[in-house]
Amino acid sequence: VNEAPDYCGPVVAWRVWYAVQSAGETRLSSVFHPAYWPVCKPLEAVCQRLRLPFRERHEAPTRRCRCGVYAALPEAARDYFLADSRQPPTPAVVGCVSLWGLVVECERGWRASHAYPERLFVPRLGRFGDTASRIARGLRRYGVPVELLDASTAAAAADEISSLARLVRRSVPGTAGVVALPEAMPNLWQ
Amino acid sequence: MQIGKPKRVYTIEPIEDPVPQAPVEEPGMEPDDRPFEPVDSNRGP
Repeated sequence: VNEAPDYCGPVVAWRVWYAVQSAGETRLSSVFHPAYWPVCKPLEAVCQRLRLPFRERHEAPTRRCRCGVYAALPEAARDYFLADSRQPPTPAVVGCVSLWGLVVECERGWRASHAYPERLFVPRLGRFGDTASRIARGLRRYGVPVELLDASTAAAAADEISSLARLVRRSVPGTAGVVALPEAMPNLWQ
Repeated sequence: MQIGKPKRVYTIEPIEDPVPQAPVEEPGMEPDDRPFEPVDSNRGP
């Protein structure tokens, strides 16, 4: 018999991706690992940590490891975007992601076993507006809202992210916002 | 991304599937293998 889950709605928080071209399609890629996010399938976490032979594989995420699909409070995603955008190897995309399955709640974010983008924002920075438009067009395959974010600099884009976080939060009734803190989520099982 | 230390662990089983059923294909979209140019965020237009 499976145990009843603790919650019945996903955590929705913020993160940063890279946009890459693969086999003629635009894909989201994780920032730290060369992992493409699948279209219309959840990304399932697998622990990539080097394992010693006598250690058993473990389900991702666990409290003691660092594995899992990451997402954060908007302030953390904003800060990361700002720092990362100084030397971007490829265009960065910011957005909200749904997290579910096994979830480790941390001080400024979450690690989860399952994830899928909830909405995406493509910053149109400086003179690379055409690239941003191509990226946004390609990312619509994910079947979630994709919007262009007009900003002349990364700092301006970061400010825009903060504003969006407040707007999006208000647009989701019945939760604490797109950043839906689990404490505020309705718990049908207790 | 720095998300800090773990606070607690729980399970979530969404009532509504967060994953769309099928990919969105826009009419007239052709495969595009051109690489994206790096975005220099500190340069003006």
